[in-house]
Amino acid sequence: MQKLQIINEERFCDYSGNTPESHRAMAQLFIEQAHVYVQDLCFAMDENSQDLWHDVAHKYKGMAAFAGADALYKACQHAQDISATSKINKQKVLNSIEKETNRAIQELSDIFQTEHI
Amino acid sequence: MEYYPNLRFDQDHAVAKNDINSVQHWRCLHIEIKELPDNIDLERLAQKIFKIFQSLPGCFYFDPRARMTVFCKMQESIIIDDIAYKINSLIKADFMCRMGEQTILSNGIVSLQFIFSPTSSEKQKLSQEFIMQERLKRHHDIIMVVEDDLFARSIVKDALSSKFKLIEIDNGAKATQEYLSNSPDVLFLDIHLPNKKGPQILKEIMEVDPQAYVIMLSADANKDRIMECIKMGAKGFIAKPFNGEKLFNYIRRCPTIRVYC
Repeated sequence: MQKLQIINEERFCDYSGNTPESHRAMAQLFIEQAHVYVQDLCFAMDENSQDLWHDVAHKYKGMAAFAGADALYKACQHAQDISATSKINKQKVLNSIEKETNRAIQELSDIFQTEHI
Repeated sequence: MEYYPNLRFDQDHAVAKNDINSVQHWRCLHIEIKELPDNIDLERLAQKIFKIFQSLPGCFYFDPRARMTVFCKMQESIIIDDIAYKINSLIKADFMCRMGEQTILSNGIVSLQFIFSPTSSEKQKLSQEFIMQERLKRHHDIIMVVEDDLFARSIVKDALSSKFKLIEIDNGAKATQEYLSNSPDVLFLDIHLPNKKGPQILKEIMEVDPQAYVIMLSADANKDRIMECIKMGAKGFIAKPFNGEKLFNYIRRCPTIRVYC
């Protein structure tokens, strides 16, 4: 396995099972779910729903922690903290979440040859 | 029937006071009333209960520790359920009667125990007994996880599904019902859930099963919220991210788990 840089490899492997197959399956699941969470954040921002924004950011933060995606985790934590702020500020945070999401997905896709959805 | 206030039931006293040729129709009925509302005077209630049996031969004991015992010769027309119904109606509160121990006294007389408790505690007891029976009847352990994040659920599934029957719930609204339907040994319950939050689910479950073994999960280690859950009866808390070993640490401590893990 190549060395992961965006994803904390040790943590990712600790949480995602003991076999290369389970690592690959979890990487695939992370990619699928990451897209769902980013879409949900966009929706929450457009609908100006503080609660939904907060809940999705919280959930995404949890998944980022499991995957060892530290920068993404911090971005989600920030999103959770600013759930009461304006749409402009949320857009900035969302951009940073999208950036970190893409980096994490790219790395997982490269390493585990998962389908890049 | 003679009324003996301030006297605890004594078998020798009862036998001496009554002409017992054959023990066949004689019964000893112990009446226990739990959690009686403050506005009901127990002594007055005892006098009313005495009137139900007044026409029968026997003795009525009401001792200072609020125990009532009816030692009487029952007529065949008297049905035990009727007695429970009549006493229940005298309590004038939402109470239920449950039959307790049935024993045979040394002289061969049948002794029955009537326990009256508030309906809510009785329902709780019945649900608790049902859940315990369900756990004992089956030959496998059940773990339930209530978690809406698919990734976290997959981690739980990978870690536990080879050793336990795992039930996955992704929605807070279904959690309590599924808990009651499956009587899991251990419940891993996320705090942030859609439709119904973890602490509310915990509260509902603890009301019907105070012995429930519930471990809370959350990505936020908010001390106040964790303490609130522990006070409500949760047995522990696991912060996300977690690995299988953290789950097993709690599962091993659950008293009803039979699988070695």
